[in-house]
Amino acid sequence: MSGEHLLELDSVTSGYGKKTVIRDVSFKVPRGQIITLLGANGVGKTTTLRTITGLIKSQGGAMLYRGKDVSAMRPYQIAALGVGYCPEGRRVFGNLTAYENLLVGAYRVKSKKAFSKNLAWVHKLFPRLHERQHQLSDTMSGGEQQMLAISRALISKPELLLLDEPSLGLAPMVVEHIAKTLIEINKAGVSILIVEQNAKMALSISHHAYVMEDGRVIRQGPAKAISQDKDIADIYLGFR
Amino acid sequence: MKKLKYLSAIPIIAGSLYLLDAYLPGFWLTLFLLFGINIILAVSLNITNGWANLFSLGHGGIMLVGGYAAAFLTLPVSFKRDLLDLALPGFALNFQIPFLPGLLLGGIVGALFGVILALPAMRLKGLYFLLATLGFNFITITVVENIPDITNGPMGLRQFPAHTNIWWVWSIAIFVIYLSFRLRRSYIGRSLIVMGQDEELAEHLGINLLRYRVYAFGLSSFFTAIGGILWIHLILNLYPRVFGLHLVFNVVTMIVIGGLGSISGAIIGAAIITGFVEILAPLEEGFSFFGLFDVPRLLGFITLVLAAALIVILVTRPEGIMGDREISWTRIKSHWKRFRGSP
Amino acid sequence: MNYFLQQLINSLGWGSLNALMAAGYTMTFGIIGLVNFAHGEVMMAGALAAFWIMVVLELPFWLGCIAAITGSILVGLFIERIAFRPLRGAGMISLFITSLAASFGIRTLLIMLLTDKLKPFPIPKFLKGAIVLGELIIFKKTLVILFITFVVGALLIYFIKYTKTGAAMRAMSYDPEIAGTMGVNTERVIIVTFVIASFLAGLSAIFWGVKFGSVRCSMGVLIVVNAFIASVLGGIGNVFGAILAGYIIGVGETLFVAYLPDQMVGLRPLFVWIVFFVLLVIKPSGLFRPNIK
Repeated sequence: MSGEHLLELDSVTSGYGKKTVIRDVSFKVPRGQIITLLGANGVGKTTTLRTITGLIKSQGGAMLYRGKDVSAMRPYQIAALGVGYCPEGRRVFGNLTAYENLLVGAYRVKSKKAFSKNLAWVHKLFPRLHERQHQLSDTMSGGEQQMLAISRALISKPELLLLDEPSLGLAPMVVEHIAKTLIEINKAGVSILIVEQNAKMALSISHHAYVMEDGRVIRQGPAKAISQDKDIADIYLGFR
Repeated sequence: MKKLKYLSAIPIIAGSLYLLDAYLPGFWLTLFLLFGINIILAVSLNITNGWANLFSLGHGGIMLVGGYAAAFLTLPVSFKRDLLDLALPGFALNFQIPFLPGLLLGGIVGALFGVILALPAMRLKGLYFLLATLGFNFITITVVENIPDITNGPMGLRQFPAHTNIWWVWSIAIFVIYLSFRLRRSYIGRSLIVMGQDEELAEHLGINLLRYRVYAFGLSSFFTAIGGILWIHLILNLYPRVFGLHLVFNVVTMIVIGGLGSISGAIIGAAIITGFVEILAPLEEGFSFFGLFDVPRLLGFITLVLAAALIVILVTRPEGIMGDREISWTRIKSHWKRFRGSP
Repeated sequence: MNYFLQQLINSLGWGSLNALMAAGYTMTFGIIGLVNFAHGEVMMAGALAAFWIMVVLELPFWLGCIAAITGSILVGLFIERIAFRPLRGAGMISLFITSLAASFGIRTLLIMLLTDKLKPFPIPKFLKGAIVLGELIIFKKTLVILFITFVVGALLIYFIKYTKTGAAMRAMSYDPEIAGTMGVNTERVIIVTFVIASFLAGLSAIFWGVKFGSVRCSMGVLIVVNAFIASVLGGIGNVFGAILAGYIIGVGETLFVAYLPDQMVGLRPLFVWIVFFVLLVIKPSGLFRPNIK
């Protein structure tokens, strides 16, 4: 029952100190799927991801990863469980080269062989990064940094990949490239939870979607259904 | 009506001061004077470090330069000219000037140096500014110690006339408290506080950051220097070393314990530190405990306890005793009501 | 010219000391944004531990060295535990104030116990003596200090640049939050950083004792200023930069004093502050690339 889902949030409430940002948020990420969390700016999507990764302490509800409660875990422990995180705004380590960023991303990968294998995989997904691997990540373009951030989250061959607004500030062609790559990554066995404002891109690659408003999940359903839901489309998804 | 309430307080205060001056035994009177001086230092430091959020460690240097400026004027001619022959301008060297002009001139010199401190605040953010003010402290002490022709070097100055008394200290202390409360409600004060909390907002509101920083440092340094001058004319000597990190640290401890940004907090902090330091002083000398056993000399014990106390406060209650709020009658009344158990 | 060269040679021991102190300093500065005023006392603790072992207990020099390193590491970890860890995430200014308090507290405690009088630091025979090169005198101990600093410095830089933990440290200096989400146990890395920094301070303590022949409780007061200014000069969090900057400041300070007229020798502490203010005006980020955002 709970083994079906890789990640399960059950009535999670979270925020910063006295300020509660998300309330009673529940959703599931089944193994092998791409799930998306949609909503306008400020509804609490990032807060949700940060709570999952352990950067914020949840104030209520349960978070289960492979059936185990992870609400009290520190970020490095959650990463060790097999969760890769690509934060909002890329947040690459600007003082390190692309290669060194990946080195840190693979911090919990013990064997050199595994690291080389993963590195080869990541370089295949993003050949541009392979060319620039000894370049200081601070000097890379937005698109390159985004690819680096995703690679950094993937380099440990995670079970679950969390992405926070990967399309933000990127040219449409780059966004398309990323979307295609995400599908490829998913086919390789990585489950994905993607948080996005760009609903079109997210829904085009997801299996299931949850829509948030004011810190709560107000709608959910198969991605296709959500993309065709007129109410949602009008207000939140910017189709019009 | 309120004005009448304030005015009627004056004879009460004056009367109390007279009585205290006449009847307090020496040790307690000195303690009371030190308390007043510490109030002046803490409340004026609160303006820059608390309200304007420009954390400065330069107040030691300010007191030093203000102190020397005043000393050059108030020291007896027999000392500064005949004994030491300091290289001072004629009007200072050949005359001994009364306390009030000495105090004011020293304060102004302090204020001028304070303004110098304000200028780098424009370019340097938080930590670098803090370190620059620390540098100012170190530099003034080092320079003063190395121009013996003017300052008599590390040996400092002595033979001060004992000007400081309860009237000087406490009328100035009360004035500084009153001024701070008025300032807090005034446009200048509120602008300072906004500037301290959110620079961008302040700029949007049309507050000229440079000008207000200069105000904050000028005013704060004026009174800091005066506090220093009062102190010098109480302990009757002036050693440059004394104005180093130790003293700076003490005043910072006062406002951190009391609460950064609170005038009442600064007063409470000054009270605690003054009381602590002076009442625990015998411990540093070693004394006999009711003749039962001897407590050995524990020099520096006070500093150790203060340091530990500061760490504890920063960890457990970093906003200090008062936070950035003030004591108000309404709050005291409501606490009292709750204490009495009324509905 | 000879005078200059002699002064330069004389300054190398002091330069090495400053370099190691700066390296340790910049590591903790980078990783938790801490301007650690107590770092001087970490060094002093090591020096006094060595004094205790060698002079009071009359044990051999090598035990004294172990005591210095151990003493520094223990005190460094102690301060981290009680003054810095509880303030994790607090602003730089709060951290600075606690470090000031810790500095005062430890120094005062030790002065209470041992007084601030100079304490001898005996050095073994193999460190005594000098080599004479024409008109120049080079003390053996200077060469030993230089050699050790070179080796330790090289190992440190290798560690920072080419190991996973070193990369993790640099990543944490830049973005500690995200480093945590990559699986880096941030608390453990911080402790490792403090151990390394304290080790370097302990080593500096030995150098100090060897070079000056004596130590005292207040020895940490001025060196910590040099250490932090050297950190800023070298680029915050940049170990190579800090080592170089430490030498610049140590050598520069000595030469500064060497060329001052006799009565102005008291102006020695001004040198570092002049460097600091010039740096802030010209290039506040430092000579080399800092490791912080």
